Amino acid sequence: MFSKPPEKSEFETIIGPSVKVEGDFVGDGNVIVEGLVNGNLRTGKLVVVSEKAKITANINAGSARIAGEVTGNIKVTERLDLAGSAKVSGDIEAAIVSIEAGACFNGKCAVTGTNVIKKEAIKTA
Amino acid sequence: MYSYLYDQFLSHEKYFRTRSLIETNLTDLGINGKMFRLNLLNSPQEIIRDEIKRGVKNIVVIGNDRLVCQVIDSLAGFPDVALGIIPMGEPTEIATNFGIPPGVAACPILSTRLIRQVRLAKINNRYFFYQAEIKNPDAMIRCDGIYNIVAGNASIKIFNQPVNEKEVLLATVQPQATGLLRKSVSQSVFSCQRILIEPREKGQTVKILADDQKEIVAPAEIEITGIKLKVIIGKSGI
Repeated sequence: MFSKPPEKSEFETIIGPSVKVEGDFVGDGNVIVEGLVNGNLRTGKLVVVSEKAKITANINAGSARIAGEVTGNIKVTERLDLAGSAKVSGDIEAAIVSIEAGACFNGKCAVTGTNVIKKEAIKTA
Repeated sequence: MYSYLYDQFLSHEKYFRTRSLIETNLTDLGINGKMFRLNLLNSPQEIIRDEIKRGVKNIVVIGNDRLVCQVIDSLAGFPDVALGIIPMGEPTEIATNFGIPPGVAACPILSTRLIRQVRLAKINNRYFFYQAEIKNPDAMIRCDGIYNIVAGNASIKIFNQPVNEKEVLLATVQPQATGLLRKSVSQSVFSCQRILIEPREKGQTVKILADDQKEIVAPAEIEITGIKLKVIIGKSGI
């Protein structure tokens, strides 16, 4: 019996809680991480790291919402949100950074500001 | 021009009436053609090759999914030739997915000749339509040559399914439900162009079942191909 493929969702890649990804993950769409990632994680769009996720990797993304554990540098071109449950060991760089009370963050923080986004938008227009 | 391939099991006496009905229907619809009854001494591959050389544009399989799967390898390189199916026996999932009813009812569909171009995926030089299932998920699964998926005790399926109009394979990992309450864990989804499946340890056997019919033993490489096969489908065909 053929099974049906998963229905379309806003997330192109879902790394579930029981799954471990090793290596350089490169995607185009939104990525949700609920499991483990070792290596690098790169996408042009949104990365969501859920509360139970553990990432030992550098993250490069369009924007990111972190609620889990990340050991590595996070570089996003737009907005980075660290939830109260987030544990980040590494440097972060984003145009906008939001850190909720309770989040653990050890590293350097570089906020490039919204001007960068505006300039890039003008360049692409 | 149509050519028909009868599956081997249809030679049995009990199918005599159905065979006659199908042949009468095909003649009435004006789409009768050469009939081939498969047996141990002939192969569908050879027949198809000869028929295409003869200029046949429609190869019709009368039988189950197993025969359809055998035939697609032979038709893959011929974009002008269409595959028709008259489902008989079990399983006939492929035909059902194309909206083709079993038996005689499939004959009018062949005459309507509604064509769909179906993208084929390849596993170790063999083609498949829909899905490949890894029977021993504790295997090395390498996507696009850059990252590995470690899944443990889970059901892994690879769908030949475009995502947002991108030509990709969709790999899903569904962990087995565990615990007293059989609580299921959410599914993982990956999209990639190429998947390499290898045994994790020496001596381990990893089997992959493509379209529920073709069994392939790892190491196996699954990839999307630019090859499309013309299939005659019913109105409700997906």
